[in-house]
Amino acid sequence: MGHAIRFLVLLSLLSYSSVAQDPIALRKRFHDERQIYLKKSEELVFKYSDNSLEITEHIHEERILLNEKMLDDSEDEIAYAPPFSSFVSAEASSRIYNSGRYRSGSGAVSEEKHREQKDVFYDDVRIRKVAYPGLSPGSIVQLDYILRVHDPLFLRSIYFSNGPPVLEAEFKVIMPEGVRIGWKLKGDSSLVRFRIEKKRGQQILIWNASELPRYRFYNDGQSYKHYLPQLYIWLEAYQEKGQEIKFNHSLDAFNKKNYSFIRSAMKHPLPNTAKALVDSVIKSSKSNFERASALFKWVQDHIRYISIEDGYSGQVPRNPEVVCSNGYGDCKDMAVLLSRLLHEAGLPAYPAWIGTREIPVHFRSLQHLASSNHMIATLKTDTGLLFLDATGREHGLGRPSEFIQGREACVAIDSNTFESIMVPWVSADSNKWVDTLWCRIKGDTLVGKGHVILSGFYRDNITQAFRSRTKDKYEELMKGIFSRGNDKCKIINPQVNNLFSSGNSLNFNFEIEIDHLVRKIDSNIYINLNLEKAWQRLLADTSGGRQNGKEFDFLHQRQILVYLDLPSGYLPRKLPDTKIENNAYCSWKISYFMKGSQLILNSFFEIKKAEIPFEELSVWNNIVNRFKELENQSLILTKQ
Amino acid sequence: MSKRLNFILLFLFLYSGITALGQAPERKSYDFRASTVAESRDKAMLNRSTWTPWYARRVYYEIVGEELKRYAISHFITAVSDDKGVEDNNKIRLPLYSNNLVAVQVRVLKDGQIIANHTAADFKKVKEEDNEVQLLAVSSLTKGCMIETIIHLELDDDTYDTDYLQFGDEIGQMNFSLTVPEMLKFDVQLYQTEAQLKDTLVGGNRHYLYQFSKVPAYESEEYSGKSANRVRVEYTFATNVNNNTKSSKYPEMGRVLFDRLVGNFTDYQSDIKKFIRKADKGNNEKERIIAIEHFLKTNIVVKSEGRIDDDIKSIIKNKFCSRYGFNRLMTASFLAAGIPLELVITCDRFNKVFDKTFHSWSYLNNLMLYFPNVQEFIEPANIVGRLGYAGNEFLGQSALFIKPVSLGEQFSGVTSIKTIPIPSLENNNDRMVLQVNLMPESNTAKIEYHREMMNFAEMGLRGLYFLAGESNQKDFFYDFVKNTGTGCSVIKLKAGNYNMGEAKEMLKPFLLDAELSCQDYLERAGDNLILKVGELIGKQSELYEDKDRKTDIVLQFPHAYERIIRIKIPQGYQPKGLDKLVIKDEYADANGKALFGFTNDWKKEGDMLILTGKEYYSGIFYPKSRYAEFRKVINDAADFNKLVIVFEKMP
Repeated sequence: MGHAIRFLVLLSLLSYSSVAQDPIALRKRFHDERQIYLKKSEELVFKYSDNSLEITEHIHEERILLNEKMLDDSEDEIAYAPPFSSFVSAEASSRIYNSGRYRSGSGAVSEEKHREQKDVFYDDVRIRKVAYPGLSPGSIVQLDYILRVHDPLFLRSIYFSNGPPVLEAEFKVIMPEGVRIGWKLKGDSSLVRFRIEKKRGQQILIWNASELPRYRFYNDGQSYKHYLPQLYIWLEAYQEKGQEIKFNHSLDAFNKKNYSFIRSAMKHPLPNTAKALVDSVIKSSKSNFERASALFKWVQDHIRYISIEDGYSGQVPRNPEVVCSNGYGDCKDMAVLLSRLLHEAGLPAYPAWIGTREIPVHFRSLQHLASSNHMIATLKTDTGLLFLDATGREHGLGRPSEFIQGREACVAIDSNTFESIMVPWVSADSNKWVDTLWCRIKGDTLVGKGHVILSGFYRDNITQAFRSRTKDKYEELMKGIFSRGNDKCKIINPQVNNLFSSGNSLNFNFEIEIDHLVRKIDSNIYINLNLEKAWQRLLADTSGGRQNGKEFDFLHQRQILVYLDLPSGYLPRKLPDTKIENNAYCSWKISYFMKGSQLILNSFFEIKKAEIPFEELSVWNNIVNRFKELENQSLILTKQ
Repeated sequence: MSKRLNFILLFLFLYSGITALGQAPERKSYDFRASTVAESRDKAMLNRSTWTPWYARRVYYEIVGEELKRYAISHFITAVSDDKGVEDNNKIRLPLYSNNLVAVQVRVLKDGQIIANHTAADFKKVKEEDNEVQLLAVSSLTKGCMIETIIHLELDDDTYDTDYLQFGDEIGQMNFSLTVPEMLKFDVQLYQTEAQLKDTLVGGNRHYLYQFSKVPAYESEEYSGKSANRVRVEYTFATNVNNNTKSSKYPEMGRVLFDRLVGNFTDYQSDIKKFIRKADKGNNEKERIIAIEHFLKTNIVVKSEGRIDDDIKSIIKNKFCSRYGFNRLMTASFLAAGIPLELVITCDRFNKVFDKTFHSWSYLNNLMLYFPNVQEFIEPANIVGRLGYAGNEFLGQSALFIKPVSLGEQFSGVTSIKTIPIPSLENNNDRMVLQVNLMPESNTAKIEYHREMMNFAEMGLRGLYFLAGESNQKDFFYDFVKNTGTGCSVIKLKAGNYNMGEAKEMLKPFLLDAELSCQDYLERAGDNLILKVGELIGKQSELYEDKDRKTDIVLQFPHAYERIIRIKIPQGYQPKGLDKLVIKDEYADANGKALFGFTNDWKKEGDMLILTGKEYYSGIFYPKSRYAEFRKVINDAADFNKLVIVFEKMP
């Protein structure tokens, strides 16, 4: 081997930051992990080329595989989204560990493929998979790739971690004179440090973090976007042909940019048929509210949600005529169509952008395209603004969808006028589950009748469950919803009223038999009338170093009433005392009382805050555990 | 696996004078007919979101130049009744796999009028993994519409296949046809229906046609043969009447498959020997097999996509290969180690039952290795499985057993058809011993948990424990030992005999020992305690819903549960309600051989209350006539879940 080649090989080996890493020591230290990132870095490079600004992302990742079995950690993935960004090049390599020594190995980058996403019918994001042959436990894989950014407005947010521990993370923005950027850290940024360097006329902004811990994901928790450390970056200005091109990132400019995406669909003339359609839909409506309700319902009923993310069409809605004719569209298609139809009916309706609850920022704090991921229509009324999300099939006029409550809506009055308004939370007493059971004891079975009334989001969600089932599965659905006590519970002849009748509460009647629920021992009967263990869904899983809070989909009240006809000659040995709790997050009351020969349980629970911060989870769980004790209380009925 | 082997059939076909008949491919035209389909669904179907009044599947072979090509046209008409029907049908996802799309057309009709018409140009092409998918969002589809779809594909050149003809919707009129050039004869067989085949010669083609009405909607039953119960058709080339060439029978297929897997063995024999040298150790043949299997399954990554070089030397170098390459590597490794084996090839019994009388490649989908000296199997495709019984999906299934016969330095395969043995109950036991201490002051049950699981009873948990990282072990196994206990915390968890590379461990039951602190199992009733003892055994399956049974009972494997629960009676309390803990429900066949059962009993020893229970299923096939008894045993276990013991506070 010639000296030059030998030098290059040496250099290439030294380029691994992990040269000093001892896999045995790492395995000991991170015994819970299959892999860790030794280094995760990215350079966002701005440079002038032929008088125009060129932006590239240079990503470098090194992982050490600690899992002894090496089954599915030997792959990487490169993702990019044409036309906003494109793939330039990639190099993958490995260092294969064997008996205390490393030797160099290879990596192979696959051809381009489409990403598959469950909720997106067509997704234009492309991926390339990277495979590393011949790996062994302790091996290190290294991936370097370059992406070109074609639209400076679509700079992606950068995550310092995607879950596994990261020993060293570093992100740099390298920019020549004349380029200015803005940035903001979000999530758990306590370990992130920032500095600025200048080198050869270039300004280098550097964020780094060391020893980032494992971040875990929880089903009942806030989205990872709320707690993974991440960096939002946006371009503020650059030079082109001797002139400064400025990107105004004021809220006003941000809205104008957003409006440019919908301008065509908002201005496209509606055909005569649209006018006729509006007239026919609202012909029997007597008030503006009724007119708006009718048009909202028409869009909900006639336009199916299908998400097609195809380049700029991910931002630009189709014109309303096409959406009507197709019978399908995504959120922005529906928002624009509904706004136009309402307008046609003479109602002050406007489309609005919104970031759903999974987004950790509001527009007013960060004017970044990533702050928004949804569109709705809004309607001005005498009593305030109504938020109309036609992707939610069951919501009546005036009730926003669950996932936009508490979020900021940016309403486009016209191409120059915008209003920023917070979507209110729907109050708990609007979302009620009231469940009443009249029952008696027959052997070891509890038999009786049930009546359930659902309002608000409870009503909407259960209605949606009916809608997504074929009629011959309705009974099965109701049995699933109302079964309680144990899996021998029989729900007999369930009936639903007001199904698909917008605006009304859903109510159900059924007969019920719960076998094996009553225990007769000697002259006593044991029974627990708390047939649903609400505490199970209320308790937050705090295992594994949780870093995010717990979320409920909506504020709600749940009231359970059980009227038990006591068997002849039996009386409760002792009724538990009434217990009440009232705090900032919830309130509850469980009480038992006698009325004639009936024993009555009244159990009430209200969620007053839908988001329990991570720091408050242990307090929350203590509250739930107190409720759990009450729910786990059986009664003894004694023969007199 | 056998797809590429058809070149042999095609070879015979091409060199038999047929090329003289070669002609340009005739693209068979196909007409829409939705407007002529009358709504004639059963009343029971009126509550369904969709109904399929018409399904035609037309498979045809054509001679194109010197090749025999295969095409298929699928023509569905679906009536959409409600919102669910619209949501289920307004997005069409057409994966092409290795097929080429010739044409596709989708149209929507309302009241007999066409309101939308889509062609191939409206589809979006997507490349996913190694598969091309065509996507279409269907316009104008609303309740009350019919959606009519014709998909015309050029299929691979296989001369056999399986088509299922029964789906989730009832089909009003079903037509299946197979058209082949006149000189070819095919064997065609329909399963799970009494419909009769029509075989005609028209215009130089031979037509095999099945037509039948009212194919009922397929509904899978619990503990059944699943898709093996669906209506399906098998077809395979039988004879070329021009030259009397006949299709291969199973013995020939076995030989061909063997050659594919083991061909040119001497070219790489020494590489393989070197590769497995360090792994090939053990005191006896069984230990050597375990060691080699473990080495291969933990050092080679099996990939399903990308360009993969399955040459044995490349596999050894790259340490990854396709499933097929792994089959080759594993077979060759044991041959190189001089360990006697047989290749076993069959198909999943939950897809179809192997038909010994119908000689078709379509039954030859899955490979296992059988080691006659130890009488056990290896399933190369099962990364977490190890030497032992055949996979549960193959038990009792007929299979080709291909025995290597040495021909000098090379091998050839001799085939026989045998039944894959069903293991006995005794070796598939799941033993659980719980020591329960009640803490009345904190409403807590402290549980010492011990579990021993062998063979099928361990359900792949040993492999899962071995392969998962420690954090994953916690995630999964903490939940596993907690059973249904949401309010349980795991104080300590230890597994034993999970090292899959150690023969000594693999021959013993997989062990789990844990210490649990649970608040779910104990409730209060005044001063008394209620122990939900039934929940301690974990949530049991149930068959409470009383439905007419349509198919025989088919289980995954014979298995037994032995459960011992030792409860320390808290001081100052006395247990009550023990009479319900005595259960004896067992069933036997006419010869007195135990079939299935559930038993439980209790005894008191000092301050210990000891429950002993057993649940077992000795076979995997039971006739429908025994369903009521079978259901009762399943429900006995589910009923046990509801049992409680009251500990009454003594005055």
